[in-house]
Amino acid sequence: MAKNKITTSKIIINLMFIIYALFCIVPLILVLSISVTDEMVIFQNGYSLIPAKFSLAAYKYVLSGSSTLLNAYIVTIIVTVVGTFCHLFISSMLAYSLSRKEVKYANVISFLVFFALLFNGGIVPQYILLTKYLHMKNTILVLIFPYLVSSVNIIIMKNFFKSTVPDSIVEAARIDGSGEFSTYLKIVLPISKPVLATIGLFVAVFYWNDWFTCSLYIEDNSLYVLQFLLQSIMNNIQYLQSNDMLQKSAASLPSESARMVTCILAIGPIILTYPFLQKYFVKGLTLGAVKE
Amino acid sequence: MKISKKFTLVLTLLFALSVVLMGCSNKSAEVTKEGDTTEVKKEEPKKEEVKVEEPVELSWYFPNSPQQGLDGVNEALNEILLEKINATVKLNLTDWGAYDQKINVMMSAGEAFDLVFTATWSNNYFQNAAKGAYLPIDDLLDQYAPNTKKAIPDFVWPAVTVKGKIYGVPNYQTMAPGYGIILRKDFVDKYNFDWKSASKLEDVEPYLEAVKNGEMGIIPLEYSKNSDMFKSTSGYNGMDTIGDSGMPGWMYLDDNEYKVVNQYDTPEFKNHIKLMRDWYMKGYMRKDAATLTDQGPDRKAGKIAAIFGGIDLDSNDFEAAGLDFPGRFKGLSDVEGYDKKFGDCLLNTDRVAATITAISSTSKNTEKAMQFLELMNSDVEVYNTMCYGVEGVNYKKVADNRVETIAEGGYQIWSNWEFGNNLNAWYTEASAEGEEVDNKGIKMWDNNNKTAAVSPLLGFVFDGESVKTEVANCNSVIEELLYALGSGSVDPDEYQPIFIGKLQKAGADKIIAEKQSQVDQWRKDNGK
Repeated sequence: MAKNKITTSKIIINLMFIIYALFCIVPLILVLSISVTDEMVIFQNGYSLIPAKFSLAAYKYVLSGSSTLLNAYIVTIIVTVVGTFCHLFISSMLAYSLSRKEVKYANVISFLVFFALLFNGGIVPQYILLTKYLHMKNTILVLIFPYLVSSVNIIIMKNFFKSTVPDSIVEAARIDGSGEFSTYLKIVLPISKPVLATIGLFVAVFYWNDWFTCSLYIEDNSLYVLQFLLQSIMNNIQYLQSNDMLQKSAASLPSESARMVTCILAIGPIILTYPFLQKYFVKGLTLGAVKE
Repeated sequence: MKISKKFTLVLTLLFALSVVLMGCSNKSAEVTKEGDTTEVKKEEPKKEEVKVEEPVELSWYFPNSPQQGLDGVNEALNEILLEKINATVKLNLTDWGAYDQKINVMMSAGEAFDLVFTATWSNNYFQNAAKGAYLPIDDLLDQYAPNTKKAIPDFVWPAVTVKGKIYGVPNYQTMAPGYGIILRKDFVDKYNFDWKSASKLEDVEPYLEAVKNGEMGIIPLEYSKNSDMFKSTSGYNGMDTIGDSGMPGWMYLDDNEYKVVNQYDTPEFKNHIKLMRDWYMKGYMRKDAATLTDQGPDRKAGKIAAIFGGIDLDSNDFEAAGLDFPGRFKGLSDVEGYDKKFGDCLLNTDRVAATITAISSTSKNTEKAMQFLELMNSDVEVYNTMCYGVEGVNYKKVADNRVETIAEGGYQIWSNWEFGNNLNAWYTEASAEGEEVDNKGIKMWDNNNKTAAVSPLLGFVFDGESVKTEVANCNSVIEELLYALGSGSVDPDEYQPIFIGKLQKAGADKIIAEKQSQVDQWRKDNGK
């Protein structure tokens, strides 16, 4: 193997990527640094990359109701994992069926899916349906159920199946004696990893960040999701500080650094799992590309 | 191998789903179990042959921040309630940010619930009462809540009366805002400023000047868009707002004709912005004051020397009551200060109707709901349990009527004003020392309410529905120019006429005319 030569173009390319990487990483480090900086120092000197005075007061404040927060993590992770898998499973089943010519009325159903993309009942009918008829208020199910199927994702998947899954493969499977469901499960899904990875990422991010559903349907402390709880903590600080009567006790509350703490707590797990997930995503994407 | 992996995945997935569904069925099982226990409880009184009445569960919605210890407080509250009115209550605490929309959706869906927090500024009381979401409670009040009705002064009730009917019980509290300045004690003492004889904004100038010349890095006077000194202190200029305080259309308090005027075209406004311009040029305010939206950092860093804004009780009031009051700066910058009120306090609809509990028109237990409200407004034990939680867990008692909250207790809700009559509230570590002796603290604000001037418009509420477009247009004009003028950043002689011109183009006259016609109608209806 030839030794790596240092050329001008290599330097430039490397430099460009180093700068680009810095652009991505510096804000994150700044957030982390602010979250451990003493509140007073922030107000006096502004933000700095290296904490001028180290303090964990903000973490202490945010984590002081730690069992609730831990609980919120668990709820959010369950919702995200179960929600994402169920969403992919159900949506891909529908999308695959719609992509097959053999399915009678596929066009009609496709139109219905498309119609639901353009028009929906709005929030009040949804609320009535979920609370009065399905009795899902205050259950973990309500955090998952309303988002199990998405018209956009179905259309994307349908088009993917149409263009990527050759009819001949399905026919071959059929001749070999495979039933429709096992064809879908054992042949179509494995060669559709790229679309599953992409949609899965969208859906997972949606479930992870969704706080509105929780605010509307959940009244039970133990079912709060993480994003909702973090938002409430910030609201709480703001409320306490704007309340005349209580300013005495609220003056010492960290607000600036607490904001960054909530940020770290919200992205932390994702950052930690990303190295593993990333490998999977890249692999999935290239796999699909090579096949076609 | 690969295929079996996928298969396991699907299996796991189905398993996970079934777990979730199981969780759901557990829930419903729990509900029936609850039903069972209530039945058991129902039998007990039967044996004793006192009352054959099943305890009802009331549901109460109010906004706040999630409290870890809420369940414990709820239980303690229910114990008392079961004994007193044979009912329980489910406290549904909703996050501030989501409250309005959530309640709105629930009302639109016709969901059955009993009690709900409502106000001028959150979950709009007047709109909801007008559209029939709340139950008129006049008769229930007389029948089930005589103490509540008696304890709340007469001037309060007209403010929550809509078309001749009362739709909610206001939480009696400090209701008469005044206006004044808060100053830092260290600077006042250092420069020998005679704060006691200051009676208007102009009188503070020597203090500001001394601070400007003597203190490096200190901002003599605070200004931010959140608290424009003219917009947020109508009473100081002898006027009262009608609807949103920024919108054109205020009324002079001493005007017997009830004429609605454009407050930005009054001598008071012109004088005010001239003064601000003068002060801005002298460097008493931040250079970027006109665009500043968050004054918190400056306050916390102790960079502010004076703030002009709302004050109901000032240092003189506390001194007269023999109390040691550290001043409002204590809470903002952790330094002691003096507060000086300019002029009288004023009772207006905005503040009187600022916190109300209403009974939903979908409620199935209206009588119990009213009995509950009666307790919340007249029973010291019930009310303070709601405010501070359980003794020993959430607070410890340091005097008969003074507590210290326990941070680890998980219930520091700090919202006495949200639940009931504040006359019954205990004092906390947030109260000045000695306030609890002879109930001095409460007597102070109660007296202040009773001696305050009363706005001629008390009880009137503006409905801006028909001038929505104009209001939106005016908002953008105000956003563009009011804060520049109010902070003195631009020349008033040149820009005030432009401001007025733009407001008129945006439809200010139409808003004022609409306000005028509604005021006239209200006067006719109420014989004023």
